[in-house]
Amino acid sequence: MDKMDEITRRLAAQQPTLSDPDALTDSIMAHLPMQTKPRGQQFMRAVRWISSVAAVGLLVLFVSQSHDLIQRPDDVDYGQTLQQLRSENTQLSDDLPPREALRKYVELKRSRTNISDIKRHFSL
Amino acid sequence: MTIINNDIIERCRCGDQAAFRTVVQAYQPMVFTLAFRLLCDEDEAKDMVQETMIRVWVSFASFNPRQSLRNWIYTIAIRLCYDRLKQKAPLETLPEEEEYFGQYIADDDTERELENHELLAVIKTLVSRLSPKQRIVFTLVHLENLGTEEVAKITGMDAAKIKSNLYVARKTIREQLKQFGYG
Repeated sequence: MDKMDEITRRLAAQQPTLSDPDALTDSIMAHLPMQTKPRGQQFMRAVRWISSVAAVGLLVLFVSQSHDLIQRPDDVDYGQTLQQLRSENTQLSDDLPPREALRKYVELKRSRTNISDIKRHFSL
Repeated sequence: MTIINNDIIERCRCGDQAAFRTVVQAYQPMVFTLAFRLLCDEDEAKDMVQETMIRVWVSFASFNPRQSLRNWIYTIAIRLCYDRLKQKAPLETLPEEEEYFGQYIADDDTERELENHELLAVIKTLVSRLSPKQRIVFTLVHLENLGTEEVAKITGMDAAKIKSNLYVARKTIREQLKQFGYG
């Protein structure tokens, strides 16, 4: 065994003496602050809060979407829309039968597209 | 040493200070020895015991009872000591400490119990030329008898870094011993 290993082995076996351990314990106990909540609990609380907000958001979204979905086809002003499309581009009446145009319009209307999307769809 | 059972741990997790006193009494010598060896200062070692125990108390609720309480406290203490070491100025040894070191390594009585100031003089002179990283690796491996894997886990250094720091530390100490006539 070389000298360095011999010294470290001797030192590892030596323990320093803690003078007056009770005073140190008392000092530690006198300085204890409030305990923090475990991270797991804090995380679960955050997850619960985010889930609640997301659930409310989804509910609001569902209600607003349902309002559009339950709209009856009769409520849609086909005539006006078709007239508007025709007035802007006469090709529509030649290339697309009115019934087909209206059917596609209703589909697009249901998917919340606007008039410019309809025009784009028909390549107008 | 007082045995810390699950009941005491559970009470500590619930904020019972009387139960925590038992934990402090059981583990403060271990933390003191570690801090004494790493910081080479008795008063700082006591401060470190206090800092460690307060950290343990504050985060006790996050302690997993399935792991070892001793290892958990030990890891907290090492990390705090390491942070303190990085902020500390390099060690400066006094001529009388070096003189005592010379006497210690020449002493054939290997079983003699050392006083704190004697032990401090020896450790301080031995590690005075090491960087904080070399010091922590050398102390944990050679004086605390930890394995490379454990040191890696606690300090966050990878195995290669630990080995290179240990190599340089040992080389530096051997060179120092040469100056004392032990080549």
